[in-house]
Amino acid sequence: MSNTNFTVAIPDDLLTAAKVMAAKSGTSLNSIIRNLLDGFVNYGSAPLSGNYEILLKYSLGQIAGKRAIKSLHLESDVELNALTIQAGFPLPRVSLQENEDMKQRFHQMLERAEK
Amino acid sequence: MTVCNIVIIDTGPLKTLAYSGRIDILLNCGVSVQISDMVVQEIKNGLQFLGNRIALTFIEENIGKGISIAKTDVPPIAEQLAALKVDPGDESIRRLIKMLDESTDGKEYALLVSEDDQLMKTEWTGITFFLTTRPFLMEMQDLGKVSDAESLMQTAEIAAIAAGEGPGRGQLKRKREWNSPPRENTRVLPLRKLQIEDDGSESDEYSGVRPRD
Repeated sequence: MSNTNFTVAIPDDLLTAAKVMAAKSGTSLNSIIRNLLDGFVNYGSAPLSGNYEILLKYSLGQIAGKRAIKSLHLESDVELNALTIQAGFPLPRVSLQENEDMKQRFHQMLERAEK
Repeated sequence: MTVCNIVIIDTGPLKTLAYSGRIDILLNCGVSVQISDMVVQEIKNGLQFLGNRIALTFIEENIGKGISIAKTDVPPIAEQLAALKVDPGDESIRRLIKMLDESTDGKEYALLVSEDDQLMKTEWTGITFFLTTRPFLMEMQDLGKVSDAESLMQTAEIAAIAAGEGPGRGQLKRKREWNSPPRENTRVLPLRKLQIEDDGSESDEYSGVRPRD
């Protein structure tokens, strides 16, 4: 398969950050771009951006629901959760350990309430 | 005897319990339950959703019967706060937590919040602690008051989606195209050109540097 040169315009900061990420991942920028294009052409997927990026951050617990609702111009958390699921991301969850810690603290509180 | 309370400072847990069909568990959880006045107001503001209507009916029927309202006095000034770009919900939570943490009545409070609430990331010490709906129901399951906590959570999620008549993929795409959300960083960055050579190596026109592959 022959290769063709092409030129793209990339923000300076993004290019620098991408090179650092590529180096950390033990790969090249060339390889990353080729893989992204391959995914876009063959699987219809594109790098996350816009609303998808906001929904992913919400799903990962990186931003609060209120902020995601505001950013996406939605009306409610019901819409936000529906949109998150439609985008293919799981709803935000706290870790199993955090769940267990909260349950334990609640259990102790109920015990104190009974005494 | 230690006086313990659950204080609901977020609409999420109320709606989850409403959609799960077991909001009544709040009357039988072993401690008294307070609901923030701003949460009640937010519930009233979303009565187009079934979960809100179930939650409001439950609150109205059970005030004074194990359910009480925690006053933050934010609802009457909600519009003024919004005009000042202060989120009324956040302000009511801030006021309530400050009030509870500074109280000297010897009571202990579990603050019931949604799993995605950023308050969860706050290190909190003292007489208050955060509790989300899932561990709340898990403890109720251990006490034999509900049969299956995880099943209730799943029921609530599915019911919420169904009741909310949530947006489909069409809306997801439409919003992205027509109503692009504001980005955090709108600064226009200088562009530089990246050249990818036949052999797979890269160079950029701006710096003229040809990095090693």
